[in-house]
Amino acid sequence: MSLIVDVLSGGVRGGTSIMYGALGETVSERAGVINLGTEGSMLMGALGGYIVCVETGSPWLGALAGALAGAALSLLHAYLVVWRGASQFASGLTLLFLALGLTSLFGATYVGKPVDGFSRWDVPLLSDIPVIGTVLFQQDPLVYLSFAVVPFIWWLLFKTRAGLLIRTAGERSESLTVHGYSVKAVRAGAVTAGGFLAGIGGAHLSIAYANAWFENMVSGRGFIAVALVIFAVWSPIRVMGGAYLFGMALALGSALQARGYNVNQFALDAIPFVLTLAVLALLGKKTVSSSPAELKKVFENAPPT
Amino acid sequence: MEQHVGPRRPLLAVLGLTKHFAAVKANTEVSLEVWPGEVHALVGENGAGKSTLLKMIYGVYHPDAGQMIVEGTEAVIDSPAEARRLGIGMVFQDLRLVPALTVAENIALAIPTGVTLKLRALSQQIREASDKHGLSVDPNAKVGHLSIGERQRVEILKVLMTGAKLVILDEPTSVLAPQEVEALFSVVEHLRSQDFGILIVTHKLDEVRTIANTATVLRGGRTILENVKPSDYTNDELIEAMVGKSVSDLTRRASTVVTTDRAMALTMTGINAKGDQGNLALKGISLTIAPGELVGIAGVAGSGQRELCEVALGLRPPVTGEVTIVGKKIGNPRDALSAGAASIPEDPVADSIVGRLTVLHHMVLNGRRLPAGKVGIDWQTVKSTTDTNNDRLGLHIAATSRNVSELSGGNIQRVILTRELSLDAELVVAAYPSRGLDIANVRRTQEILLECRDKGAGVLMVSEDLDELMSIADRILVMHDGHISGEIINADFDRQRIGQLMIGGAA
Repeated sequence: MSLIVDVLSGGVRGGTSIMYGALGETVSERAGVINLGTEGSMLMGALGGYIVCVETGSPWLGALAGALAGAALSLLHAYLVVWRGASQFASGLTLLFLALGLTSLFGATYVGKPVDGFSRWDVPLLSDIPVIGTVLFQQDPLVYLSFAVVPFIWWLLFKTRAGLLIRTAGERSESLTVHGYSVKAVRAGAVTAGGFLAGIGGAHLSIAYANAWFENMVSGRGFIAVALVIFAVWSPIRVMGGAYLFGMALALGSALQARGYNVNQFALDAIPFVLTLAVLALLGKKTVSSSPAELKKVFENAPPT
Repeated sequence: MEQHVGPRRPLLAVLGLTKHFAAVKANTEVSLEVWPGEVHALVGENGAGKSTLLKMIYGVYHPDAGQMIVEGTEAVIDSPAEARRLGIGMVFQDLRLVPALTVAENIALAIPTGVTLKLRALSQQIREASDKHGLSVDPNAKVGHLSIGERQRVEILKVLMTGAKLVILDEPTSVLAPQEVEALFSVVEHLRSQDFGILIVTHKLDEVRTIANTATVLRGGRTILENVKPSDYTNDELIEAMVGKSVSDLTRRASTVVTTDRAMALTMTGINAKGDQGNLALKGISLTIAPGELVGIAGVAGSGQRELCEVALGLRPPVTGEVTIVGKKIGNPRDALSAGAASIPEDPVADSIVGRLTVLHHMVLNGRRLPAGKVGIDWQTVKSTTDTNNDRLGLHIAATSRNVSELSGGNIQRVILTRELSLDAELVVAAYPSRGLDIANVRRTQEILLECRDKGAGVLMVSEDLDELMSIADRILVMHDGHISGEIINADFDRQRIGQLMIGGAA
């Protein structure tokens, strides 16, 4: 029983970083732009959050700095693909490696530095509920924030004018032009907002989950986030569930090790990626039909219209 | 009918509008007037300058010279937003709705509602407006699930809800089944009775007669007839105004080829085939086309016509069923070519041209045996054969040295037609052969297809133009939702019946 609770609780904590990244990718892809640089935005967020948290002692300022660092990298992606018409794949991957290099360079002196990040805060009353209380309400503040961010993103996408414009940019961008809106501005906004969210995910990793900074610490979670968006059919609500599932895959290993099982660390690290591959193989083309129509154009390499 | 107070004046008067693009004189001193309570038909061939005129009226292009007067005041319409502000609304031919969004969300794009969409209130407004204008529309339906006719109603409703007094319809009937055309015309009639002005673009004369009070005919970018009553003119006079010369009517003639001792040009037996999305696009299709027979395929766009042509040519492997051309089983495109199939694809610009190659290159770009020279292709022979074929077919293709990327859609169509129809084919699969052509070339193409038939080829012809099919086909098969919903031989051709079959109704 306690193993299950540990896995569930660890799944929520570990899945939250992925969730922020996947929410950001959802917003970006809903506007018709794939951002493979999400991993990079998370790295920028992890280091940016860590530095500011160490220097100011405030985890909230750290989270904000992480978000801004993630947004900055995505803004560069927006500039390259939206204004310069560059390949979305090439730009995203290149920005990931840029972020990897930058964070390794500027993060070197912060490796091993102690940080006073977010600490666990139990929600009064709710945290006393058996199982559910432990899993959902004995977490850090960024987890609680995500409980509000998910419905907010859903509301934004489906109930507001901004969301309508984002979805139209992703479904049929010429309809925006006809109504006098700028496709470029809408896409750039969505991509940058996506980077902002991914940045929070990165900061969650360094100043709430691990309370440490080391090189390449995101280690593929950004790519899991990108795959998760397809798995979740571009829905923020499903992103939440999917992120916890991947979080649990991550948590399973440490929960087993903590109980003295001798499990190979490399095999454990591979679990989320094997899960990702399994999900992709299982879904195959099924979700493609519900993909935003303009994303299909990206795959078909159609000239920009 | 509402009461008119004060002096009546045109909703829009266009005076001497001129727009030239480098060497192309798209519009030269074009004038027309649209009054409230009037349906005004703008008539002309492809390339007559209709779309340039519309784009100037809608603020997309800026005229080089001339005036636009909106309700008595001179207006500079420099953007679509300004056009909408002045009460001019446009329903584009290729409807600009977003299929993945609902009707209400699509309309919300055009109407300011603040930060949130307030979809419930908007849906109520949509219901009220749709009752008022006789346009039945469900605000919560996803646009992608609606028929083309319904989408058109959504566009019109959207335009009305943004406050348009003048509604411009750009070739609205080209995508509709006959019953849907009737429904559209009753909407137009209703709007006219409510004192809206309607400018409707068409090149079909019967539509001009049915719906329009006033007509303006464009040819070569000039107004040939301006604000005239269609009833004052005969069909021949209107056609002459459109094309500049009278075009002889096609003489229908029945097939004369004796077919008893020859293999069928095409047989398809029990064909089930998937579409690009993995849906079942052809469901149990069986048909035969005899040598010397021209079979027309009618149907609303997207009923399986494209998949049918592709399966017949071996381009799309069926899930079940068998195809033969002159008795030879077809498993891939090469089989079809060697059995003697020729093909006019549905969208040559997308499917069968390579922009940077010349017209001459395209003459050999069809997978058939090439005239071999000492080394490589004998281009001299290709050139002289092309010239001979061009003279014989009379479609006047562009100079063989030109790059295809420089040609218009109609010119590309003529290149492909000339290449494919100059073969001595056993089977001709022609999807929308007259697409993009002017009236004279449409007639010529129809003649050539009949000549192919008379020489013994089986012809499968897909068209959205029922008049075209009824004028040349020996037999019409109607497709609906991947089925053949009916077959009518030429003595019994009947628009209403074909129309019923097209929308899946019982014959």
